[in-house]
Amino acid sequence: MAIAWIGLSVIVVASIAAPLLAPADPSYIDVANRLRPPGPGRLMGTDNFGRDILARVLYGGRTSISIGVAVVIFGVGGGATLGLLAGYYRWVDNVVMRVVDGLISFPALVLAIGMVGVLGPGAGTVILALTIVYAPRVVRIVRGSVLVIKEHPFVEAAVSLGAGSGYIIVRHLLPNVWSPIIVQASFIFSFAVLGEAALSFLGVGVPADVPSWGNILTDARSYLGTAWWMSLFPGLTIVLTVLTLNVIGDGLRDALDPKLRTR
Amino acid sequence: MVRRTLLLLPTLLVPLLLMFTLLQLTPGDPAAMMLGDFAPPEQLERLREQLGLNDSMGVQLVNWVGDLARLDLGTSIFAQEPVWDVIKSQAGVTIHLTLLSLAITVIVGVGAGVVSALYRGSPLDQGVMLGSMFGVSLPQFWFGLNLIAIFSVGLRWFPVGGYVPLGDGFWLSNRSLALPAITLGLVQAGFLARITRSSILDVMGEPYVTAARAKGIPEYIVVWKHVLRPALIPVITVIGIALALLLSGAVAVEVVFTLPGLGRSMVSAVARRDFPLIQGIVLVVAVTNVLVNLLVDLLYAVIDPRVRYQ
Amino acid sequence: MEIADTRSDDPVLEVDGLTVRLRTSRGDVEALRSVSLHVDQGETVGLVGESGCGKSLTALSIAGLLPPMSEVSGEIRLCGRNLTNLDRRARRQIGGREIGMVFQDPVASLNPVLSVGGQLAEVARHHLGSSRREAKALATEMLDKVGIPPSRNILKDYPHQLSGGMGQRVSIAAALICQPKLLIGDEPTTALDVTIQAQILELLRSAASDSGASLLLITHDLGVIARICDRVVVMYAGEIVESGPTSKILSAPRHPYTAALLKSVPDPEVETDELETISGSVPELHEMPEGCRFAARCEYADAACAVDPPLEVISSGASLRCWHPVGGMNSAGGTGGLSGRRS
Repeated sequence: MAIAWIGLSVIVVASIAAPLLAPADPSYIDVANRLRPPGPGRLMGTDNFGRDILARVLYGGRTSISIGVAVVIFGVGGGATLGLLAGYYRWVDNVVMRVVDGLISFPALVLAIGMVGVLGPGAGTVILALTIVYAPRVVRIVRGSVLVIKEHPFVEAAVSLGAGSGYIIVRHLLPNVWSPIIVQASFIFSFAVLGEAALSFLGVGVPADVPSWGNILTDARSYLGTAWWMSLFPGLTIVLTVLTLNVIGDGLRDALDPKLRTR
Repeated sequence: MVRRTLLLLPTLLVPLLLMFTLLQLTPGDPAAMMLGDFAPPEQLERLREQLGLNDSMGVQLVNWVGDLARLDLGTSIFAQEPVWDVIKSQAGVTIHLTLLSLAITVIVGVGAGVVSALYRGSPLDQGVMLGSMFGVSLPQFWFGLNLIAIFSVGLRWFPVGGYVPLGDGFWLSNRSLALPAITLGLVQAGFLARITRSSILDVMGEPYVTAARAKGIPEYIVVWKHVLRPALIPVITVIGIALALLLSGAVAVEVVFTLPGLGRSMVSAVARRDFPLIQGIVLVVAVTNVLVNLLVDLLYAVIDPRVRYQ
Repeated sequence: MEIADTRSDDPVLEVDGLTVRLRTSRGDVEALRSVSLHVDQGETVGLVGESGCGKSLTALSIAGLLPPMSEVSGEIRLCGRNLTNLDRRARRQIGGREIGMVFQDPVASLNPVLSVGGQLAEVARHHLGSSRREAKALATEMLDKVGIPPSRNILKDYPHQLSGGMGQRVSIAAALICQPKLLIGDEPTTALDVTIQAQILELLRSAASDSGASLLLITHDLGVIARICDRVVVMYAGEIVESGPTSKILSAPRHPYTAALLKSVPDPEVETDELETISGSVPELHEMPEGCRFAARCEYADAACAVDPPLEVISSGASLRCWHPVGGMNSAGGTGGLSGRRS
């Protein structure tokens, strides 16, 4: 667990500090040095344009991770808010849950691609698409928790003491649904990273002029047999990031499970 | 029965409404996007009329729904053919791939989950859990790329891409799909393994299992008859979810392995701004989704007596 | 594997010095210490104690259903045959055939996806080698004996369709279908409505004796004991503290715990302002004191109680573990009990 946190921090920090850490400008085309395997000064090798892959991975991380964070903020934030409201107000519930039910079983990537198809590629569209695709899960979980907690005596007590709805939602319901929200945030982050990578790889995500982990891999496809480092390193970075996020999510879920709290 | 079908209506309508709304909200002129900025104005105007873009939103919606009901999905801009025909020609590939992957997912996933649960705590169990966690973290397309690098380019056991239709030979056809199916199937298998495992462990802790043991029934019968049957019920519902995940992954996998299926078609449609085709595919996927959910519900009712005799 | 019929004055069940150690997250604990009891032919013995005292664990040990992380020492003999040194398979076989068990929650102890008939039949088919038809007939007959006539036709029903009382009748039928020598009931009426409890208790007693089985009843409810048990065994914190004929124990308990237990049952005929309780609480399994385990809560405790008293057999069917029994060492009466309160 601790390893996961450390790993994640390393990746995040490295991405933020990319301009400082990168050995070279990721867009710098150096045709003379194209397709060089990893070596001194070129820790991850160079791609078909001679661009340093480590630099591209670092800068790509900025893009991919910020998209991930954005999806978490909007998706989990928006989703949790909707979930709270839906759990508390019947009429909100009816409307929102119909929409949630409609979206939640639909293949995620297909929906995202469809949305990008209509709105046009770009980081903003990717964020919007992934948010719409993954928010329903959060809504459902938060709503479920709220429905359960709403029945607890302390809520009844608050109501009988004359507490207003807003107060109840914020002071009583919200603190009790924090744990599932945080756990979901971790998983949504990992879905977002994978989703962005897939979309960008397919050319329907972040356009090629801004490196992201996904679109770095698009070029790698044609050079599979010859330049294995082009696909290995970016891919491994994605795997490591997502893996650490999943381990953290699992760990958080176990740690925050109220049933296990009596240790 | 009827009630269940009604509950599934949002699953069909919401994605479509979403697409429709987004289309309305797109800045720019869809006609210009489709024909190009330099198309002559009369052509643009004619296309706009044709697409009904000059009508009010409400009228457009009604027309659109009417079209869908008649299975008139419009004409693909690029292929200049009815969308329905385009979809029909490519659906087979995607269906074949999805079914093959589903088979792998279920066999490997459920199998690993059962073994893992029965040998709980052993290195085998830990290995399966680690493996499945790893699998869930893999970008499917990247996994596919690696498989190609190793097995197609390196070992030459499988073709690098392309699809051999069933008509050309059962074995050849499946061989062309082997790597893509493994790519899709293994990644989802991890997910299924975890769910199977926790379901079995839950059932093992139930009082009726202890009661069965108290009756003196040997362990292997207890496991087979008393544990697996109730434990596999929630797993069946998960298979519905797994199918959605497989369809999602199929898109990227089809592109990576150059399979002429709906996924790859959708990606190129996006690149070409071929709206009718994009919408058509979303519709088909939505309908399939609804049908699969219905099927799973029915299956559930058959298997779980608690649901049957309400 | 049949147990040879022995002379009818041999006890059906003998538990001798049963000690069970469990591995927990906080280290090894001794959940049962040197438990010894016996059940004679045709007897109904009640095992009573508060929650957590180990009575369920004792029942599970007898039936051979302990979790794998446990260490068992001591002997359990069924009709003279030692069960504790059998291998798992043999133990399971004999346990199923000769010991029937009825659990607390009837619907939860029946498999929800298998039919009632199927679950009854599988016992018969496995142990008696009956054919499907024979098993079905046997099941129907058994159900009739427990008060569910064939006209109800519940063989095809599923457990969730049964009420609590019906479910428990089915469980009793399943437990007795192979005519075991011993029937164990682990809080069989606790989860039932009060109105049904009496019925089921009576059924347990009559069905057991009809099948020739002796009955070991686990409960925390003294009322149940008073109703159908010939003898009582009292447990506290993993040990047997007293045993004897029901009437004697209830009227003249000798162990301070038993006395306190009886006193805490309010007498509906006496007006009181306060309910009697036993001060303190049961020690945690991993914090068991060295000496007498009840000493901390006992009004008669003194320095001698720093050593755990041994279980002394007073007469056949009666035993006591105490340095300071109520009413003195050799007197037959006492100041506790359901009759004779301080006025």
